[in-house]
Amino acid sequence: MLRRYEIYPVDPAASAEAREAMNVGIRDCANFIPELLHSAIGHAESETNLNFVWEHAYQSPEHYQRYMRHPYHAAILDRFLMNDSPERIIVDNPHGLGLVGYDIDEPDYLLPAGAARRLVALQLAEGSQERFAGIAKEEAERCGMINSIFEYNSFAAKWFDGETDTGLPTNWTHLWEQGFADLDAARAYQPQWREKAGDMVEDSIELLYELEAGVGYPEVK
Amino acid sequence: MEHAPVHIVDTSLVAAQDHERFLALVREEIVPTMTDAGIECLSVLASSPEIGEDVEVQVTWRVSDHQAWNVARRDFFLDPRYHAFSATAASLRTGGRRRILYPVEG
Repeated sequence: MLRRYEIYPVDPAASAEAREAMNVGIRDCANFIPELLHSAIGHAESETNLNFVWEHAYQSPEHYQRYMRHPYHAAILDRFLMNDSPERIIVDNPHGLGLVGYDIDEPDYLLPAGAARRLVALQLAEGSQERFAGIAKEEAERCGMINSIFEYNSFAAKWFDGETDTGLPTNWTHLWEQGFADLDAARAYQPQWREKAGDMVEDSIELLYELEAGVGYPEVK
Repeated sequence: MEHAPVHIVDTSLVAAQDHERFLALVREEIVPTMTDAGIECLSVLASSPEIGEDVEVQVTWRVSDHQAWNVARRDFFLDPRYHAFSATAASLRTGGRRRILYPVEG
């Protein structure tokens, strides 16, 4: 499966009507594109201006390609998101954290209704993946995360068809999805991984949000 | 409905005092960049700047189908000119609308 994220800064000047239209259009797009799985959005808290997260998945690159060629993608999704669209309501993303994701065998990322996610984008020093995976596992056990997936960000450059490298570089080498029972638990979490990882982590961004599940999102893991 | 050819109809609202600058941007930067990506510009229409309203500038683009649009979309997104003209256009627009249309029979 392809696990995929789209992450954006929504224009603070965008109208409430336009924001709601985008929320619904993205969250529930499986109504129109059945190849899209496990769609949920979140209005993120972050130290950056990145405040909109869309998490979802595809069974295969072929399913992703059908999503990319679907009229709904061009007519509805691009309307709010593409730089040249007169109806765009996001602003430029200075962090280079937009389209990311990874390959996974099963949808282990699913969370129950009411759960919250902390998504950590990481730029790790070369060769530190295994050591950081150990730290992530320890941290998940220590603080009672209900879900923890640490993966190489293999999707970033493959946004065209899920297979071909477009050559667009990304600094974000890895993603760490952390699941919590609810937003309070996610907010209360006191991370210790930064101290443990030290120089392994060259950069990171954290986004915290409650899942707003869309059409087709199973309510239990 | 057959979803081909794809017509992308972009209507931008710009202040009357900015409309000439916006039209120059369309002519000199937007059309050449999109044409190089394989998108045909069918028309550029504008409302009058002399009627006390923001000017509506409507550009209609055409590609053969959604597969072709997807490829063109990749190509213009990887073109630095696209990001430059988009930023300028956004700074001049006061609003707008994008719709995707198809020919109908009969």
